[in-house]
This record gives sequence, structure tokens and C-alpha cells, in this order.
Amino acid sequence: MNKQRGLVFIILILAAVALFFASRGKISSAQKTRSAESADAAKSADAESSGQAADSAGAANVGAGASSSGAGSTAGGSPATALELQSLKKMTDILALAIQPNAREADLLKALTDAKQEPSVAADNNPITGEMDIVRTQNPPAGTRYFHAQYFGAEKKEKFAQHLSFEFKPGPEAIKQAIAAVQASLHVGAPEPTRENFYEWKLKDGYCAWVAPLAEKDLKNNPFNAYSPEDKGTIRVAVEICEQED
Amino acid sequence: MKLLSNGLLLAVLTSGYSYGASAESFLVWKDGKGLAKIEQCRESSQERISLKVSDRAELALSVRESVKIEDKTLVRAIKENPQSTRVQVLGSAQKHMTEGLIATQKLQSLGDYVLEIQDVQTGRKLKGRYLQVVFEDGQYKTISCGTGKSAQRFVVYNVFNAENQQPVGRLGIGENETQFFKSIKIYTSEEADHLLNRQLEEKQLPDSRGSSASTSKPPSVSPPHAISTTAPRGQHLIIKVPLNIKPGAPSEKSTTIDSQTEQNIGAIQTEVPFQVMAAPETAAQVAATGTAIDSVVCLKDGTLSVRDESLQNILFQANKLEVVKIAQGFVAPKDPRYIKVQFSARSADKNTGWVAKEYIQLKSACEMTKPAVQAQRQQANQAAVAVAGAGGALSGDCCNFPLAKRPTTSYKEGMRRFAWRRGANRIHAACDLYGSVGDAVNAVNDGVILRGPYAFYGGVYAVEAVHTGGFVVRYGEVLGKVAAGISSGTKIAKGRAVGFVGQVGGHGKLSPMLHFELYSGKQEGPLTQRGAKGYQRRGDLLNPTDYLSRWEQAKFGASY
Repeated sequence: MNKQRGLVFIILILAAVALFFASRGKISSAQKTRSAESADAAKSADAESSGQAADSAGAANVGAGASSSGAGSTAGGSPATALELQSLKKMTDILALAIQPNAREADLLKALTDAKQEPSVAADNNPITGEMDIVRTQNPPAGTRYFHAQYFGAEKKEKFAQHLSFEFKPGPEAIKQAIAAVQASLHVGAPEPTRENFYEWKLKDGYCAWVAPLAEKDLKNNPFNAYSPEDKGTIRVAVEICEQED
Repeated sequence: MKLLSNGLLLAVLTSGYSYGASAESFLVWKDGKGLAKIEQCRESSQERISLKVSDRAELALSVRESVKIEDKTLVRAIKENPQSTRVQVLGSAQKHMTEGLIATQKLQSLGDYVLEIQDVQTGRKLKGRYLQVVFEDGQYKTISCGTGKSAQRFVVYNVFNAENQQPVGRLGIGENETQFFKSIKIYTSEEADHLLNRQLEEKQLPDSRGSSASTSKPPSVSPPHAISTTAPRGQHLIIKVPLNIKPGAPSEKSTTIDSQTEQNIGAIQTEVPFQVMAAPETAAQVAATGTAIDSVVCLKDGTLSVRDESLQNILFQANKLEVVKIAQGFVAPKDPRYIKVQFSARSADKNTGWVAKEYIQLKSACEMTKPAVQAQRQQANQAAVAVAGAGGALSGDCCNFPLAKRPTTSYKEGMRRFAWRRGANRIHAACDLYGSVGDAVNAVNDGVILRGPYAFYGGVYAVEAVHTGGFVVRYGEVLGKVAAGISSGTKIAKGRAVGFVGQVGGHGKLSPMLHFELYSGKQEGPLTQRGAKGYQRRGDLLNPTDYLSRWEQAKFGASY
């Protein structure tokens, strides 16, 4: 009996692997890449397959929260390439770095500069409610865009990160991929399945992380970012000071 | 419709007229009479008007019969239901006065559109003028004229022409008017702005190359130079005109209606000869608008070519100091010397393109706008300090409730109340006022905007303001949509819209709400304090409950 069970198990595994590689062959690879990293993209399918394997492993860890909420597809968009998934992970790593207990704004700027993202800082200060720095980047990595961070502080005092976010391209697995990246970078489990299309985690030190697809009105009404109708389904990944937990 | 001869009518309102006062005259349009001066008018406002703009839709005349109505057709809503609304078509010569049912979701607010008067018979004296309904603080401005049986109500419209950035006058039109609306054309605000710009160019610049596309290859060797010698263009700012600015008074809102002189009234009618063109947007104007991260076309003179994605074709010319948002995509640009930008003030069909990157800079960094930005910031800070030190005080009588509608549930109970414990380490630092997404959030008192909207939490934003007497309010969980004219340093009057109710998580289970935080103003520094236990807020945080309760009682006659 045990032998039979073992045999069935092996057969199931083989069938799953076969299905996996069969579906991979249909995935389009027609994606432009960042000029600085074009050499990576030109490498063989091995790089893509390792990226996809990591993706499916990550997606499997998402757990009941995301799957029960129907996480996965967003409107439009082609599947993310390995390079874009690497970008996604790079960006969630940067978010994780920025909210470390002793992290400063300068650390974030250094990380962005080292990654060749060309950060810029705009100040929004007043004598009543203090200083706010807005950090943006001009050269986001492939598959991501609109990095936005807000640092608050008083004059001559070290500022703290109140909000950090970026956008990830829409795609059939974009939400799952974003969730997986957050889990890997911030070392968290399944998100709290409290809201439709809004996946959230409570972190240490009063921070929350969340992943959500953006509707047209969210995109249109963003006071900082330009809007295009094609952007519907874009994923936003954010870490910020918690305000309204359920 | 036979017009009565009107001549030039004077609807002179004496300066010093106060909102709400009586015995004033106003210029209105009346079916059968045309332009008329009407006496004994008092200003009022209302949340809704029956006039709507329909998208392209099916109008069900009966169970079996329907007709199509075109996009942007003016209709009058007769009976509204959540699914369908009975309407009367107004803005269509063929279907004028036709009634039927239309899907409610196809109807849009008239406030988002501009009307052009086209028919010579009906609108001889108004042909070539553009009307935009006056919508302030979540309310449509109306005037009530006359008394008793002769009392009439008119919806107020700003009147624009191509020669002036500001409205040239105001006109009242009854909601029940029909002939007036028979032959109009409707534009979105962006389309009207673009149209008026073009009219201005055609009159001012006979050799302008206009906006037609031409072919030009980008330079391949040296840094791209895309400056032409076309004279700078003026820019109409219909969508940015603060709706509480009176004709002829490009300044802060006042509580009086400026005099409508003969010239202004004459300007409403088409016989007035062509006037002096509006000046191009100045560095100071650029400095005072938008967000801290806005960029500009950093040119001293001339224009900048805006290209299509191939970079081979020029779509249009951008003016010096035009404000742009940088439009990032998910893939690298073909040519790193170019950057994609979006021009917020241009019409949607022609507001995006690629420009030479070296000419796009933060307005705080561009040498042409940097001094103005610094000066504007200094003025804003001085204004904020002045307001903080001005007389008056936070009290149960000082201020207005921040929402036009009463919250749908009590803000004194449960997780909505101030000091509700949120998890192990945090205490709720506000009262949550439940409403509907898009409800106007209004300034509780006169004051100055300090900051915002900025990202607050869960996809919603916050606006900070200091109010007369020095207390500070954070209007939290508002939409990212910027209320008209609101940016850092804007002086605000009590009741002015500073934002719109949002919903954390977009479409999630948390109700839409205004997260209202109140501070005495006795401390300085950021309102959120990381690591602070309990409220995680600045030390002068106040419990707003009693104040809100009294303001609620004053406005609605009841309080939770």
C-alpha cells in the first residue's frame, strides 16, 4: 500500500513538472529591457527559467490569504520576465532596508544611487508641521516605476520614513509576484485577507506593508504621477506608518 | 424663438455686496426674453442640479423603442434612480425635448464640462462665449431672485472668451430653460482650454505653426536642441481658475461680489471688440501651483518640441515654464536623452509626448523658477505664521463641520472614535467621519494650506492646514484628487473644499471616511511621530470630539 501511494505521489509530481514546462513554452518573451541590463536579458532561457521557477515557488508560499481572495491576474499586461522579477525583488529589498530601525534617508539615497536609479529629493517644508522630503527616481529598473518616498522630520533632526512605494507592471501573475517579493524581502507570511484586492501585513516599529492593484480612478487622481488609461491594473507596493488597522 | 431686443443691459452690482444680502440685480437668461437684468437676487447654493451630461448611450423611449444619444449630450434629469434615470434631452437639435430612460452611470456632473453657445438665433449675443457652471465647496452656486409668486432661481455660470484667462462675467440661467440649451456644444474642461488656446493663437499669431504634426528627425550627435523661434503662447486656465474668483479680480476669494461694470457685461456679449491678449504664465504663477515634485520646461525663451514615441514626429510645441509630470513607463526609453512628460493643463488628447530631458527640471531647481519658488515658499510660511498668530481661537462656535453631509454613523463610538485602541501599541488619533467617496471635505475655518495632498495610508492622502487662532488640522484619508486651487501656501476660507473623502484600500471593507486630526498648534514639527507610544503623534494633539459635536449641531441641528 505504501509503495502504491509513493508511486502515485511520484506520478503526480512528474505530471506537475510536465505541465509547468509545457505552459512556459507559451509565455511570450518579447519584452524590451533596460539598456544598462540588456546583456542580462540577452542570456539564455536558463535565466528566465530560474526566474520563473523562483516565481512559482514564491507564489506557492502566498498561502490561503491571497488565493482565497482570487489574487493573481490584473487587467492587461504581459507576464513579467526574469529581469522584471529581479527588479521587483530589488525594490522590495530597498523598502525593507529603508524601514530598518537605524536606517536614515541617506541610506535610502545611497541604495538608490548604487542601483543607478538616479534619486532626487524635493523638500516641502513649513514652520508649523516641519519638514517633508519627497524622494523620487529617474531611472527605475525594468518592470517598475514611480518610486516615491516621504520622509518627515523637524529642523536639524533626523527624518524618518513615513511612506515608501513603487509600482509594478500589470500582468497575469503580477499580484502574486508582488506578494511573494514582499514576503521574501520583509520576511513575512501570508497577508491578512481582510479586504478585497488589498493585501496587508503588519510589520515591526509601527509599519505596515501592502500590495494592491490600482483602478483607473486611483491612477487618475494621483497628485504625483502622470496618468495613462493603459496603466489600469498596475500594482502598487507600499510600506508606510500604519494608520487604520481593522 | 423670437428674441426680444435687449441692447446693452447693465446688471451693476455695487461693490460691498455680501453673500446672502438681498436687493441686488443680476444678469440672467430667460427663455423668450434673452438677456435680462433681474432684481432682488440673493445668492444661495444647492448640492445637486438637474442638468447632467450624458455619455454616448441608449435612451429608452418605451419598452420596445430606443434611440442613441451622442457623447456629451446635455440632459435634464427628471427622476433619478440608482439604475436608470428619466431624462429630457436638451443639447441635441434632433432630439431636443425627447424624454426617456438612460442608465444612471452614463450621466456625469455638469461641473466637469464647458458649454459653447453655437446657435445664432438663440444665442446671438452669446455666440463664441463659453460657460462653466460655478461649483464651490461641493455646492452649485445659484441665485434666487424676486419674491412671492415671481420668485425664480437661476444656476450661476462663469462666462469665458478667448481673450481673457479669467471669467469675463457671470450669468444666471434657469434650470428649466430649454431653448437656450438646444444648440450648444459641450467640451470637457481640458478640451475647452485647448480650444481657447488655439483661438487665441489664431488671433494673435498669424504665422503660428499651430499644433499640426511635422516630421523632424532628432539630432543624432550633439545633445538635442529643440527650441524653435515661435513666439510664446498664452495659456488659458479654465480648469485651474479658482471658481471663487470674481470677474476682473484675479486675487484671493473675497466675501463680496465685485462690481459688474458695463465693460464686463459688454464682454459677455459678442459685439465687444477684440481685447488685449492674456500674458503667458509667469514663474511666480508656476511657483504657486502644483506639488513640490512638479517639473517645468526649463527654458528662458522659445518653445520645446514635443515628439511622439518614435521621436521622429513633432506633435506640438511646449511653452517655456509649462508644468509637467514625468511619465514613467515600465521599460527603458529608446533614447535616454528623451523623457516622456504629461502636461496637466492641456487637453487629454494632446498632453503627452517626449521631450529633450535636459530641459525638464524640478521647478525648485530650474533657474527661471527657483527664485519664485523660494519666494512663494517664504510667503506661504509667513502667511502660515500670521494665521497661526492671528486672533480667534478654537472653540465650539468658531468653525464649520468639515463635511457638507452629516456622517452616516457616529464618530463617537467604536473604532471611529478618538482614543480607540488600535492593536497593542497604538491609539486612534482622530475621529473618523464616515461619508461617501468624493464628498467634499471643507476647511473648518479660515487658514492656510501647509501641505498636501501627500500619501497618508492605504492609497489615500492627507492635507494639513493651519487655521485662524493657530490650531492645526490634518484632513486625512482623502482622495489624491486635488481640490481646485489647493496647494502649499493657499489661503483658504472657512468652508472651502480642501479635499474629497477617500477610502482606504480602494474598494475594501473599510468605509469611506474623513480622518479628522486636531492639534492646538502649541508645538512645531511633523504631526506623525515615529516610535512615539500611544497616539504616535505630536504632543499637542487634541481630542476633536466635542468640537466636532458642536459644529455638527450648529450645521445639522443634531449631533451624535
